[in-house]
Amino acid sequence: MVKSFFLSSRIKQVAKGAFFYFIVISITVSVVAPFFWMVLSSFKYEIDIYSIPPVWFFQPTLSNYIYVLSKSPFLLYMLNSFIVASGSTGIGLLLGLPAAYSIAKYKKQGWAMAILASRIMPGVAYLLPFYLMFLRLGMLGTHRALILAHLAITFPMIVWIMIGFFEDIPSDLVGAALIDGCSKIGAFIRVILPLTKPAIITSSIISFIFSWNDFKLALIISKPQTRTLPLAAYRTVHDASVEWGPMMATVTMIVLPVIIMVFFLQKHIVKGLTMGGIKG
Amino acid sequence: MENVADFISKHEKWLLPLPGFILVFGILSFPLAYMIYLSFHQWTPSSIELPTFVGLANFQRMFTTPRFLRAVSQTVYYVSLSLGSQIFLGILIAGILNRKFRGRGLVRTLFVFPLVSTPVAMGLIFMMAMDPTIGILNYLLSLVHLPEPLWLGSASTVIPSLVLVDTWKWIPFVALIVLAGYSALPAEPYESAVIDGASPLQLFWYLTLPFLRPTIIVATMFRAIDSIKTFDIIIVMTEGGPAYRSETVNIYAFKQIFRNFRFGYGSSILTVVAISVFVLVYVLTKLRRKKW
Repeated sequence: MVKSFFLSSRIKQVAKGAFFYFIVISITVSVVAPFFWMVLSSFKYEIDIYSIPPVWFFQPTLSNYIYVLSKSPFLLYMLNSFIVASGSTGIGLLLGLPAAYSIAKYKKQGWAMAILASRIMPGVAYLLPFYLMFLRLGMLGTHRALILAHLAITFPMIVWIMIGFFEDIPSDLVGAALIDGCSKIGAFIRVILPLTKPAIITSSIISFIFSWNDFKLALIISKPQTRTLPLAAYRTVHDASVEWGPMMATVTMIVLPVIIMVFFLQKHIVKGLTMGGIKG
Repeated sequence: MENVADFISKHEKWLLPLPGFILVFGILSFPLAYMIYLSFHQWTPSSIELPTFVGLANFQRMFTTPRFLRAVSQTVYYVSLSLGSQIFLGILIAGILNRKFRGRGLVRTLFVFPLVSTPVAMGLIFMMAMDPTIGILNYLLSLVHLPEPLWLGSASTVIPSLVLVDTWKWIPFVALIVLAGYSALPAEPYESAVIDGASPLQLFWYLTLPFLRPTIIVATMFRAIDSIKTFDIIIVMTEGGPAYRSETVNIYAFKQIFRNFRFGYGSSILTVVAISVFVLVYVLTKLRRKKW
């Protein structure tokens, strides 16, 4: 009696464990499947891409990539995305770090609320004013314009994340540095910044990614010379007839760099995203 | 140089954030103010016309236009569906990820991928997967003899299809925030409850959920705001169709401004949206502070 009871409870344990792993694997597969499908399809001939049932064993080809890279200025688009994302992240840091520090140190809740308010605005609301402003300034289609516009994305993000981290720094640290003969700015640069370096890296990465992924601001402000990647993706489907092969290659080249970067920097990103959430 | 550094240090309190806040007021408030200004004007740009003041005419027009009213109900549908699924599943998944299991680190890493992927790009992928005839989703459904919907092609299924993509992308966000909340749970209540004979379900319902409430509300707030603002996915996958049935207020406003060039009317719609979001945030913030 005892033996069979023990056995059935054992089986229950194993079953529960298997069920748990089944759930975990299902979730993981659902999360990863689109990426897997995207990369796989980018190496298929067009016929194989939209054949049903889906083709798992196929003749791989680089023709889609060759087509995209030769027929469109894809590398230019990538360069534009990179310039704009780095520029707006850089300026966002330059302006955002002192601002976040000041808010944290002097507890200026009002300013923090104003920055939160920028999140409330529908992104679409920025489009017309920015367009008219840059039109009047003759800046439409320049990198500068898009970098400035993206500050609407990067600045609030950086400040929001950094406020939490700056709040964690004990204020005596600054006092100690001042006693040691630093000016206040020196204290800021030499003591505080190194302490929050991981947070700075985190907020930079997140801002960069969000700028890289932006579509609507780039749609309105950029011209063919300064087009960014998301726009390139949009146009593969919405301009001429749909070509699935080149579309898959384009999308892969846009998404994969970010994914690879995230794979190695995952810890930072999670910390930044949740920090912005918890301390809010 | 000495004097500059001293000057900055002395006035640090307002000097440090000054460039930042010039930015905030310039880049962020100016569009807001201009949007509100335009809401009370009519302006279809041509070289002759300037904005003409029309008072509340835009707002009157808005609330008597069926297409706008339908956009409102579609927005409510979209937001409640995506919030509902994302919060519910996000909490569940956070609970799962909170347990120790082999490969947990890898799963957590993979989990971030949807969050950082370019929305336009993933929209295209899903658009292809959702094609009724050659898409892989319907193929998989046919394998298990389930009905094959028209996904983005039918008015009744288009919003759930878009919500599916939105949910795929953002559940990890909710899960990660709630997961961080899990790490702050105190241990003693659980210990005493277990001694008192509580079941895992009771532990979850009476202890975990209340403790996680502030975190859940924060996640809800972020997702609610972002849901209303959803643009990329919808524009890329349906452009508001078929027959305007996936038009959220946001998309409707965009089209009024950039396709019909009704700058005043479009701005007034966005003003209404901004006010609604503000009210929503206010309510959720109050909920968060309330102790119950």
